[in-house]
Amino acid sequence: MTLLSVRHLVTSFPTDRGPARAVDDVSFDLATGETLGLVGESGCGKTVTALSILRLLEDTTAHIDERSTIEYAGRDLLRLDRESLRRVRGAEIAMIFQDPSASLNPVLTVGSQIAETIRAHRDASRRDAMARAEELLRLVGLPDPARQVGAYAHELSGGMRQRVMIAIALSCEPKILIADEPTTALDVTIQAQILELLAGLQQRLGMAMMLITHDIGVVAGLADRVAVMYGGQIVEQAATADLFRHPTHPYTEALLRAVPRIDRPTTRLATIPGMVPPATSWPSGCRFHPRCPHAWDRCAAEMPPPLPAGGGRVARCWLIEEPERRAS
Amino acid sequence: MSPVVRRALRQARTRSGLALAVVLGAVALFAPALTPYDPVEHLDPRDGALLGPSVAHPFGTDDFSRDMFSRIVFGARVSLTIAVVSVLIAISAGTAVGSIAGLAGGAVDAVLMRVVDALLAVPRIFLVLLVVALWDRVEVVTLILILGLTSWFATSRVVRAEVLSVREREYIGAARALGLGRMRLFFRHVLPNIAAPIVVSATLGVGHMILVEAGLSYLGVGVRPPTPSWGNIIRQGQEWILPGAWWISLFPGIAIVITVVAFSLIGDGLRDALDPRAR
Amino acid sequence: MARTIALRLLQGVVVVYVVVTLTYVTLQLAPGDPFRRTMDQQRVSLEDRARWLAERGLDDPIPVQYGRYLLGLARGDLGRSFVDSRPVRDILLEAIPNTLLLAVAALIVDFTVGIGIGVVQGTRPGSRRDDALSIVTLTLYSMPVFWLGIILVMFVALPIDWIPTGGARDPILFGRQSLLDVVIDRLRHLLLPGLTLGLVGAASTARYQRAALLDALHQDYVRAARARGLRERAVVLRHALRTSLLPVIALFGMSLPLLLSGAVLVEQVFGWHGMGWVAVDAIAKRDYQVVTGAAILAAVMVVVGNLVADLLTQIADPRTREAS
Repeated sequence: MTLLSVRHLVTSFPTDRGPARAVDDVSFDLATGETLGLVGESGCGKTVTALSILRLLEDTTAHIDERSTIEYAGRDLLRLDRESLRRVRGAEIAMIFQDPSASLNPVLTVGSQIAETIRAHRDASRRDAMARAEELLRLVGLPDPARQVGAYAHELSGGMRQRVMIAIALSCEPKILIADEPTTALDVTIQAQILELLAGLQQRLGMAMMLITHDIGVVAGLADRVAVMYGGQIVEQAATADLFRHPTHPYTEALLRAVPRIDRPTTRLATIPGMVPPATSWPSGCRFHPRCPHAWDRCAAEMPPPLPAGGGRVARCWLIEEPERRAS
Repeated sequence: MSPVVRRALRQARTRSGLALAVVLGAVALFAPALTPYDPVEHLDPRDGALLGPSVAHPFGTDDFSRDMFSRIVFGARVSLTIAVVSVLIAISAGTAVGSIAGLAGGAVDAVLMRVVDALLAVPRIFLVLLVVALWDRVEVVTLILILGLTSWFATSRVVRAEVLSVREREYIGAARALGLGRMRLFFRHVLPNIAAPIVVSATLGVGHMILVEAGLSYLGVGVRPPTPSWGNIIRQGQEWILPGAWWISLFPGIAIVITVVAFSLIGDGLRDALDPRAR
Repeated sequence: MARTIALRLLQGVVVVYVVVTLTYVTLQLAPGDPFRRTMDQQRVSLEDRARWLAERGLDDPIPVQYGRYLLGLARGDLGRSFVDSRPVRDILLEAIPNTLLLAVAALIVDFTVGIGIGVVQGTRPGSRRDDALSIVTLTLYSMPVFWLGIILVMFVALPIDWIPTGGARDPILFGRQSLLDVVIDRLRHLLLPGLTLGLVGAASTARYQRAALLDALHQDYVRAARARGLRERAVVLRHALRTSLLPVIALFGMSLPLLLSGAVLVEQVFGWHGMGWVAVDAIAKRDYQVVTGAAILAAVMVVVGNLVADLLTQIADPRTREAS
């Protein structure tokens, strides 16, 4: 059952050189219990997409287009009044951020930050909320939760801080968890632990999850479906296995090729030629065409809409209609 | 023109401040031309002592029948000169000490900064009062020196911090590898890169110095009558409030506020232009 | 905590030593002789002059006087006034409570008004309210504190009978008055001087608080707090404001020298017989012994104030607490 439905999301920022569309016509769905991976290089708009869902950019100059809609539980989040939005945040849709040390208030105890979330959405006494906080810390695998409830962020390691963030996010049993680069700031060994934790919790609580990362390996294990972003757009969406085995979009192919693999030692690391263009001057037509080995004149002239590529896969690429154009 | 200056000038408040400062500077410079009356000479009291503001005397007269407008204009000259010169002295001393501390490092740095911290703990007025009490005979030149030499501490800390950050940069190592002598190294490579915060410090310093000098003159310890200084005019006016001559104390204070505002605007504008976080 | 106290104690000793050394170095360099410096030259005989100097130990070479002063200081002795030979310590200890009273009143005004304005500005930056308040704080900040006092006297104390134009207490109150009367009397004398000294400080505090709050509001943890669905009020007050107060507490420490400098001037305006008033009076009488003592004590007060700021910061910011 579809839980979240994003349609034609456009988020732009005013700059000296005109509006920069960090997110340019992004659409996707998220079903109950499903994990969607949102993958892309830095600057492709994935974080802005996540922030736009909960309207967390409203204290900045960001502007979301009137025609964009984000449907959740029968309502358009983009049109909700402040108080209703507040009730959705944290309780229905929760978010964890990339840098747990910056996202935790340094002068408040970890436990009180969990407790305040609970008390913001539920009628709970301070003592009950703190007790629940302790439970949650245990749930996320923090050793000695009774003591850690009174700890401060700077007293904890990076991995522990991220667990605390997860505990905060789960405190009100949300239906959706948006995880923005949850492991990027962490040690590689801790990364695996956190991902396992997220997978386990998701199973247990039946949550849907949106996993945002630049590391395609992270989504391989966890995601049911993957959406690849480039230049502010989703260029390909498919079930994870399909995406990895039969990528449709040339960018996805290039990304997969660029991942170094121990079992296939090569002499050179494959890279994608060229650079990501700035959001104030997207190329005409298909955003990827200047860097695409298969591009022809149609690619520069017309922007491809999301086209069905069979088996539930969707991609923005003219090669779907004209497969013979594929260079060998 | 330096991009910092350009960015500063783009702000309306910097331009306003600059405009005010220019006007004030002109007033101070052309004082004799602007004032029809002698600011110092005591006139016959029957001629017009303690007159309220009028067309002939826009700021009124005092108990010695002196035109207040003329006194205040000359006061501008006195106060601004003292402020600017003493700030120059303070900046030079502060830059010298800060640079030595930053470049020498080690024990020299530690001792210097301890002394600076100690001196910063003494409230400035007490420090100046102390030196004035010890020195006994204080004319304007000595006053400027004392003000300058008691105001360099904060600048030295700022300069030291800047020097420390610049010191580690590659071009210093490169210059030294090329065999550049220490003085040359300092003046051509270090100094230009620490100049900007020093200029901000100096600009804001002029504003502070005006207030300090006014305070001292008010106490009777700075510029002494009959030489007009905004501070001592306010003091003089304090006796005449009860009898109702409100204008004597009022106008010099307004002059001070305008002057300090002007330099604060410029200084703030420059400081915001320097801030890497463009807001 | 013990470490902090120890460090500040050490700083206090260094400060006092530096001030005394500065004093005697200046004395050495200064023109004029001690007799001329401390008394008006009248027709005084050479023997009288010699006796006067000897009585005060001013005929010894300066390094000797320096050593003697330091030794005396170790015992808490600040020397004697040249004018009436009273111990400087007694003269100053009489006056210090008045200055402390004034300083505390000013600090209360400073921080309540300053933080208040800063928060009002910081929650709506760029609004007309913000711009208007910026003009107010800039103007207050640029005002000579003694002039503000005079203006307040002119426009508030003179028209309103109940508010006195000067002094620390009503001279006509006799011992029979109830405690309440005494307290009220002291308070109404404290009103204008405290307000004067406090408002100028408040301007500076407001600017600082505004910047600190704006900075805090842009931090990640504030966004994270909003993402959790906390009410906007809780986000601003509990998260942003709380952390923005930390630099303002530090500001308290840094603003003490300015506060005491201002106190000297305010005490003059209102005839408030505090430490500053005594020092200025001593200058007129060329009694530099008293001025030296006042400078030393003022510096010590600043160091103590800094210690208070340190301790407050440790309470407010868990990151600064010494590892247990």
